[in-house]
Amino acid sequence: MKRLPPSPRTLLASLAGVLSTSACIPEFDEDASLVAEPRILAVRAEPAESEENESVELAALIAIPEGGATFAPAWAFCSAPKPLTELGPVAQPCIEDFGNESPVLNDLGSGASIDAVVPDGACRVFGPIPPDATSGDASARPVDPDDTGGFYQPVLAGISRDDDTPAFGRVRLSCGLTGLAPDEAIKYRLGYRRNENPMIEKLVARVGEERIVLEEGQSFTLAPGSQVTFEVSWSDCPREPRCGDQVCSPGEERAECPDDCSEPRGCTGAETYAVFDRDAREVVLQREGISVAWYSDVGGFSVPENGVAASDPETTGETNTWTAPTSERDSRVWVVVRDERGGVGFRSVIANVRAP
Amino acid sequence: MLRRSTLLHILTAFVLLFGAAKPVRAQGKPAPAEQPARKLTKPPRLVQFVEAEYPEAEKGNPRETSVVLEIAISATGAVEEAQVKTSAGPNFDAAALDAVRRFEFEPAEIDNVPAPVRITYEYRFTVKVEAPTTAEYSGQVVEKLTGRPLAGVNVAIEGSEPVITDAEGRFSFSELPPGTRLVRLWGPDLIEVQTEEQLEAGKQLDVRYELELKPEDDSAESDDLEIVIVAPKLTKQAVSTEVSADKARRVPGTQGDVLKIVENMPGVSRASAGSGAVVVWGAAPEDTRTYVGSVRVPMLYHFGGLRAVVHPDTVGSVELLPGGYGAAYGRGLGGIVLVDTRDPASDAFHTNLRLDVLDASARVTGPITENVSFDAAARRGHLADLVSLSDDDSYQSYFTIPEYYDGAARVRYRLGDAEHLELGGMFSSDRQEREAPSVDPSERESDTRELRFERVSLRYVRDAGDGSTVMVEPWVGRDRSARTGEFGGVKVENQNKSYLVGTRAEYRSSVSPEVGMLVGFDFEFVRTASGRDGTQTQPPREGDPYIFGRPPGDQTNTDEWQSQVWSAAPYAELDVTPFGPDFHVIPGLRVEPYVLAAERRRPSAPGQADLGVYTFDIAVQPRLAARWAVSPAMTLTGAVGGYRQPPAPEDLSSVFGNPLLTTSRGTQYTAGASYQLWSSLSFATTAFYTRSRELSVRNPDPTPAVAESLVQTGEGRSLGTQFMLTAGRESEQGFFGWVAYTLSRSERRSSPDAEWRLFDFDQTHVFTALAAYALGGGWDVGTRLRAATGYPRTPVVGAYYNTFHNRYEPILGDLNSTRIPAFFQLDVRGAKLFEFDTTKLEIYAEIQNVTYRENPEEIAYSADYSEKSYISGLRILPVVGASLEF
Repeated sequence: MKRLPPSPRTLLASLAGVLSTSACIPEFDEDASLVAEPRILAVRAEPAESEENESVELAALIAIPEGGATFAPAWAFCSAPKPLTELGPVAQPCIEDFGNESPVLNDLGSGASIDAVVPDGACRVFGPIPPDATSGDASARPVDPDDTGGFYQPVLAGISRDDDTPAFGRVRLSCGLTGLAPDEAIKYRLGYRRNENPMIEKLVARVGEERIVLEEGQSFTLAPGSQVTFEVSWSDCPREPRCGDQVCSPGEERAECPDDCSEPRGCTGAETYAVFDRDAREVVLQREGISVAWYSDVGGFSVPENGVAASDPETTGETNTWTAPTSERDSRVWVVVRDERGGVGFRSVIANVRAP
Repeated sequence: MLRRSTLLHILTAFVLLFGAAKPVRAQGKPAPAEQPARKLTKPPRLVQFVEAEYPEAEKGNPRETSVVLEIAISATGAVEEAQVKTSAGPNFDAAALDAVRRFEFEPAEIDNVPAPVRITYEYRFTVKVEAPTTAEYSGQVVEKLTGRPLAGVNVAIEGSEPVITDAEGRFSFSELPPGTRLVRLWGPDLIEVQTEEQLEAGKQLDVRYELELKPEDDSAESDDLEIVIVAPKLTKQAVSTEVSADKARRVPGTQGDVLKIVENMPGVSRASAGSGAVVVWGAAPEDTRTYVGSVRVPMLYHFGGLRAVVHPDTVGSVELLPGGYGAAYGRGLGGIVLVDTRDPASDAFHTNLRLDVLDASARVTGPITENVSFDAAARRGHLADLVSLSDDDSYQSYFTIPEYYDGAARVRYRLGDAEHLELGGMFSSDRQEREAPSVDPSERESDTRELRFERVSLRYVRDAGDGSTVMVEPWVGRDRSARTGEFGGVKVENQNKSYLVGTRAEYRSSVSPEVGMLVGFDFEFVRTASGRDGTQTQPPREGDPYIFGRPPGDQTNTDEWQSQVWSAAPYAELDVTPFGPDFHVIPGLRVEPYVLAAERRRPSAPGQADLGVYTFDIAVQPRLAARWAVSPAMTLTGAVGGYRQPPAPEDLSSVFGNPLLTTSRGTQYTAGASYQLWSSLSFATTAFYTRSRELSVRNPDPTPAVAESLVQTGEGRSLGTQFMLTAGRESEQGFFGWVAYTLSRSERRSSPDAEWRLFDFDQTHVFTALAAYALGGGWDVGTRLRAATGYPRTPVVGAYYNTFHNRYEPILGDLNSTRIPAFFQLDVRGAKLFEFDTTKLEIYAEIQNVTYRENPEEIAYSADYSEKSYISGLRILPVVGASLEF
């Protein structure tokens, strides 16, 4: 049978393929979800947002692969402002000096969780209040917020005091916003609610037809090489303010909703919060997106991280598939949920890989 | 070289004595007794030598030879008889006999009595090169833009009758007296042009005169040529590389795009793949200005660097002034790229159609009326459409295929023989877009860049007929640029819209035979509306440690502002020859007042009125150049000058920049030499040193003042030397090529107290060798070899885990303390030209990186920065295309 000549489109596509494969982006053999050595996966502050001089509990999610030794991380607040020339999230001296005496680090002690006090003046060094200027009488430039309008106190946690590469975390600061028109400032004060850490409401492992609800530290069993689908879900936060829903949403006040706002309570899911839209120059309400990071010390996840965007308020959960190793062993799995404002929730479980 | 043979006389020492005395007869007397032998007591001495004429018949094949003669010398010393004993041929024999018969001797003495003798004499004829006393002078007259030989041009030189150029435009003179001679070129009804040439005795001077022609008068029956006098470039730039369009088009790697030749010029660093940046002598890309005629354009190349923004068939020549240029240009601390366009055709309509892998284009030029002609061109890129056919777009992570189109049109009205008015316009559009969706919010990326500009100009040119010229060109334009994207969840948006008004007016003339003059006025006004939303570090600035793929910080801000930059620069230059025509001193001065206006002195705040800020600055920029023709083959040059550059409108934000920024300053020094090794081989070298101050850099203070995100404390310096060996004559279509090498070091520091570190675009070595050869039969082949040091990069010495964003952050080493590996690429090109009457079809194929070498273009790291590898550029880029001209 006579072969037809390639069509012009095919020829062009071939040439395009030559061009497109010519620029070679290297691929690294890496799995972002694999925990190969003890490390800190997340840092949670409780409350998730604090004022200056307010107490806060700092807890680290420490991932220890099988056979690894647990440890008590050392903690420190960084007190050095980050210059504009620093492209990273924290002033480099804080990273370099961690584990040693340093004027830029406030030692907080060690432990899987510690109690600390947000430093006085944090909103001046890391927030919207102009810091003291170093150049004559000129007023200094305040720190820029992130897209959620947030300011953060940097915190470092390391596996040991001598560790040169600590994990970096943040404590969200409740500093308010400056530079707003009076009416917008009022709207912001009335509409803003402090962040609440997201919480994993339910973690389910679907092994075959079986659904297993997993609490913290709980284990389940599956066959070597088999797959399990994890389902993680969080609270369905109200999309509109409603008295009596046990959540003090933006727009609700103590006078109108005493049950919800006598002790202001947030929602442990994707919250709605007030943020200043710089383009429109007005305070608007915005919903959090939730990201979910998946880790294990063996095997592999389909994706290392996924999540739900703020534009999808109906979805309150995410799934991922984990493939078990081909040999029998106990595998550790960690799930971390994060909201846009730095709130963190996590859970760890154990997968017992056993031959049937 | 004139030769004149002379005769040398060598008197060889063969003197034989033949007793020439008569015999004595005895009478019947008995034989006398034996008498004692007679003795030569004194040999004959030549007292009057006569030089023989070298036989005319033998001058065509001059040789050395000898004639041996026997000469009878009388007792009084006169030559009584001469006979040839050993012949050298009848011509030499006759000449020698004629000479020796006129010899005079002191007579020989035998026994102390003068006596006749016979001697054997060798007359030797030799060829001797005398010190020349005249010079030879020849050359060719061609049209400047096309290189077409001009026949029928009268050429006269002092001391000789005029000659007329032949069909090849060639002329010659011989046996001219040496010295400085006035040369005139003219034709019937033409404006005469004059120049001076230096003739040296014993040498041949071969020149090439490139003249700009006026369109032929269609009504003329003769082939009279009108030569438009372009006043001799008053101030030939101390450092300049100029290439004609026809040559540039043949170079591999240009894909027929004339302006891509700039990448191959000495002093130009090799741009990273897909950038199209022009880095000259260690200056940032934005510091080098590009002009099309007198109109400044924002960039030379479209996004990706694949094509220039000017259609190649409209380009006459391109000139790169890397530094040390004269007072006519400013507003930049880098170099100048000058693009000269072709004149619209006035003889007939000409059409060029081009099609290749990259784009399709068309150009039409021709007469509208007797005095009006036009030129229009348009081009559209289709590579992006082509590549979209492929399912694999992973390359977009590094090299995004651009979408572009451009066009230009000009209408010229001829006001007189040497006067015209030209209305022109051009536009260009670029867009690059890439998207990397991901279920992982931190991995999502999108990036869209756009740049559009338009220009309209009105150019008036008049040649006064005495060698002076007037040029005035006002222009207006608009630039729009935008960048929107999302990197790791952080949105970025930058917009700029500028309106520009500019004018250049120039008058050049000769004040006296020793002094030339250029005066001018260069005005530019730019009003920009800018908007920016995002982080401080997007877009990155020079000096930011660059890590490929690293998301920007998440601290964001927003600002909208307007800015204005006014500058009006009168300038003047003189070309003085105080010590003769071989030595030129070119002092110049450019005085440029600047007015910089920014809308807000401080970030906008509710309840506070926005206060604008005006900054006034006067930039006095002296320039000095010198050129010394040490010999007809060797020229020394040098230049020094002060330069200024206004801040970019994007830097005048009170949030992201500093509204109080003023002009940055620089000083440039150059020294060079050029040597014409042979008529078709020349060598040039230039050493350069540049120093810049008050550059805008990020404020390193951890608590910067309000509206001082940028400070003007940066400094830069560059030191280097460039070499260029050029082969091939301008008049020949055969071979041409060059080898260019630049050795340099460029550094920056953020303040006078800081340490120097490598400039982001530093390239220690840049080597380019290119050659093109016309094989004949319409075939043309070429090759290009490029090698360059890799760009500096900041090493990653560690990493820490960012739990907030669930990613690793690099710990950086010293800024720019490592490098991307060196670059090496070999390109080849082949073309075949088919000519059919008035139609020409050229088909070409070009392969870039024919060795398929994986040239590292960027460093890539694993997510935890524990592994490092390299992103390689386009391993191979085949381009096939065709050009049809009719």
